[in-house]
Amino acid sequence: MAGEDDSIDLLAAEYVLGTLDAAERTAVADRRVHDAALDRAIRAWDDRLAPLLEGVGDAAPGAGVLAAVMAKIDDGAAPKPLRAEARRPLVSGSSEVLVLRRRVGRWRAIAGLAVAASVVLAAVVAVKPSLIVPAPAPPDTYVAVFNDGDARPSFLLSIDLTTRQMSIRPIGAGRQPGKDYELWIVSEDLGGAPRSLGLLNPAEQWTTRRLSDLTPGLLRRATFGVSLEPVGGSPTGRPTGPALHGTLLPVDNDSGGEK
Amino acid sequence: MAETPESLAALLASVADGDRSAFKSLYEATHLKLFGVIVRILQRRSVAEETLQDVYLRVWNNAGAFDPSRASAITWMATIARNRAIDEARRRTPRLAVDDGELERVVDPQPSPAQAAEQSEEAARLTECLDGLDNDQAAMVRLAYLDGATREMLSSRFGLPVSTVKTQLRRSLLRLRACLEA
Repeated sequence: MAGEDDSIDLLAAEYVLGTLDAAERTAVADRRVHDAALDRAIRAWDDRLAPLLEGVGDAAPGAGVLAAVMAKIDDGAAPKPLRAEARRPLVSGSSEVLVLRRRVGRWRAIAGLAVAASVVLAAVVAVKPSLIVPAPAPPDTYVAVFNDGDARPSFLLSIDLTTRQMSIRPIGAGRQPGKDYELWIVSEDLGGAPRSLGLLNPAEQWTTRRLSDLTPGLLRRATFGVSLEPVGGSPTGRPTGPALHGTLLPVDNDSGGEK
Repeated sequence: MAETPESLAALLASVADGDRSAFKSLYEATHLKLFGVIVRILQRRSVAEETLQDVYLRVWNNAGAFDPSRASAITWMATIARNRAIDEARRRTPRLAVDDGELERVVDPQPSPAQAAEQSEEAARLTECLDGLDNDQAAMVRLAYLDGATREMLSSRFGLPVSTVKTQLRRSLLRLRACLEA
């Protein structure tokens, strides 16, 4: 193995072994997003060392852990309720999108992504509202589609401002091994820096969150983004991977224009 | 554990479809193991339980990403648990730093013959390769991986400069890789 490969492999090995300090660890976690060779090396070392875990003895946590996890799932991560009703319109709607290439600069400035040269240039796509919602739409529902021209992946996000229930799902995004999609909100009212709204369910599933701590006005004006992150989400608390973003459009507006 | 590797993989597949009862069964079948991995690294129960919650949320959200051709379900979950525990330990360093006495206590003995008999083929091979290292060097790898020991902790425990610990760890890792790929 050549010297360059060895140094990447040693970095991966020390990362997996856990002996890098916090700053080094964060730097490697950031770098693996863009560095396929490093990512492969890390996963190979995960596979090499994981058998050691077989020898670890059991330990019993407190009785409340499962209930706490279920409560968190019920609070926001349940994909089931919205899946059936929203799947059908997506199929007919996704082929007739209007592409509005804008706000790229704004996202980059707000999100402070200047260092991320590999950020995918994002485009906001407005879906003609009548195609999204089969029946007359409830006036409080807003939708956004994020995509990158014809390239995959795309995402459809909708928010009911009355209940502040948000749902998002990938469209034809496919699953990225060793990666998670993370959702972000950017708003001047939140200080202008991206705030994570959590990880998306893998595959073609709805992720729902109740954004009860955010006001309808803030949500209507906010920009939303999705970035590709290492498994478990951004290690830095800010988007580190290629990002897409979009803004909300009211579904009761025939023009499909930006609010 | 009553669940077989196949049944755990099937539970994970159901969890990927949002099946809560499968998720509860998966928790029942795996949480002792995962908590064992986490608490060994983090030591403090309260921190370890928070981390365990986070690990199961990740399992719920990422079950669809499990690839049975790559690892068993329990190995996949235990790896998530260990990685999260290490992240948490490094984030909290030095607050959670284990002092020498504690590190002494958790030094991993060689697996007992009974444990060795239950080992997977991969674990047996890794044990064999670790046995090919000097005792101290194998102990350093185990302490780092299983107990979350930092270079500084290893330096203090083995009475070596941090730079020497780093060099020895790297040498051990290269030898392990060569042995495993032989």
